[in-house]
Amino acid sequence: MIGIDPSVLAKAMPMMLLLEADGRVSHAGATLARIAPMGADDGIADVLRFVSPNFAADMDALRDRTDRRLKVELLRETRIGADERATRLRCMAFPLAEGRILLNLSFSADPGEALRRHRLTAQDFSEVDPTVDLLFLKEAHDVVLTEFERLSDRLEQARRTAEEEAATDKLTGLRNRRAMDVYLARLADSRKQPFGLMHLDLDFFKSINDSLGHAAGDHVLEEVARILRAEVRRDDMVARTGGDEFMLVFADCTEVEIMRRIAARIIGRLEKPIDWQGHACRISGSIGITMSNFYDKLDTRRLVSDADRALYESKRCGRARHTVAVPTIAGRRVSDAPRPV
Amino acid sequence: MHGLICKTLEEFVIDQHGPQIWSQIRRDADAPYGRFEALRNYDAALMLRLMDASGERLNRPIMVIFEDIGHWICTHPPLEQVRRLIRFSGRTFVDLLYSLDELHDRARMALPGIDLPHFEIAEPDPGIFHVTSQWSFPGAGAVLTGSLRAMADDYGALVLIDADRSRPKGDGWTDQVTVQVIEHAFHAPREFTLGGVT
Repeated sequence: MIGIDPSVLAKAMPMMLLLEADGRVSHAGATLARIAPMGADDGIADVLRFVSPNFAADMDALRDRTDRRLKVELLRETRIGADERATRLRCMAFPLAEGRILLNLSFSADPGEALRRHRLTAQDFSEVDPTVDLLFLKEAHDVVLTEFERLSDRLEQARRTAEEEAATDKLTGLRNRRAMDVYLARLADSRKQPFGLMHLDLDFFKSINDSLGHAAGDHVLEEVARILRAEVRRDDMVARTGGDEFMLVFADCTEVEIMRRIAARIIGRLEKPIDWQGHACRISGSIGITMSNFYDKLDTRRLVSDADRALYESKRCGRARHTVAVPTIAGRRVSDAPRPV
Repeated sequence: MHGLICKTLEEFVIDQHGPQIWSQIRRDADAPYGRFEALRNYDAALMLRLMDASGERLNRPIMVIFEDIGHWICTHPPLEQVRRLIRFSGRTFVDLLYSLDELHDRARMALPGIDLPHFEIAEPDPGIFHVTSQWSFPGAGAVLTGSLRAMADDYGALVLIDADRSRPKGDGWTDQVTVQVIEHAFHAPREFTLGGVT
């Protein structure tokens, strides 16, 4: 048997309550008294509510529960906001001589909110209480997590940029062949949307490269890209698929006449001379067209090769024109005559 | 070399001297393209090249730069969380000194894989402290000197701090820092509540 001065106990255990046999609270640890001020005549039922397990706050009931962890709320807790709950504390009851009970309390799993509410500092904890280390770890953990989130954002941004670059033709800013293949595969998968496919090959482009150099050729290609972008709607797909080859996909398009009109307009605009350092660069374009609704079964490779064949039909017939492919039916290839512009 | 340490040098140089100087230092040190990532590991030799290049470009001894970095990580407002983490070490500046021998393990607990210096503390005369460091790099004493100056201010203590030059020892480097605590409560400490700021 050892005797301890209650004031020493209150210092060693700043979250303790000493209950007399009649239920009076005779001593409270400094931190507990800060959170919920108590008076000399307060009894256990004025100070505590046992929430889990739930039982009436009297000494006999408490004596029956000295073997397990209890959860309590402090009835006189201060600084509780309008919509806030009382702080829930863990507690263990220890029977002492002469019917007294020592209650030792501590904060629950996440003490952060209670600490903020009561503006507690390291002074409010025992020097050997690991709560402060727990809080250190929690803050350090937050720092590391924040850094991980930032890293993840940067990686996502880098991934998007890389994806964008991988799908873009550097010179013209149009999509590239790879992007077009992916786009067509996706259209084929969805099987719902009808679309028109146009394959464009520039005419007389090689002579500009040969006579005025590659810088002039690049300038012409940039102008062509500008024209194509202007002639399509925002959701249509335009790609540069080769040196002077382009493919256009018109989403949701079922009217071949619309495609013919667009092709004619594009060729008309391509034929306007493009200025390069005082030289007028003259080009034109040959176009092949096909439509997804020409086919019972959608095979994008077949559409591409049909549009390609129609394009070479345009070339063969004298360039500067468009041709609509009619897909092979029962082994017989049907194609309407190329139309000059 | 943990990226957090490379990143600290990077952020410090950019904050204090601008991104152009840092680009030059990175080129001088033959560092890979882009920013350092705090959560990756880098070649230790690269860190040594960056230290040399920083000294050259900023035209100051690298140990002086390290001392400034030590001060900067405790006082730069966006790094308030670092100051808070250090304040968890104890209630007073002397508590902080006596907790330095836990720093290496504490940091490991928060970020496994980080290699911060080991510190040992002795108090040969009342109020006089010798902090001895052991680290795989030179400069632990310089960084500590800067940080302790900042934290003494934070705790409101009046102290004198001196660092010896780093000396090679074992696989790494050792430094000794002498701290003389003249007044524990010279002015009011900065506020530190445990629950953090909301």
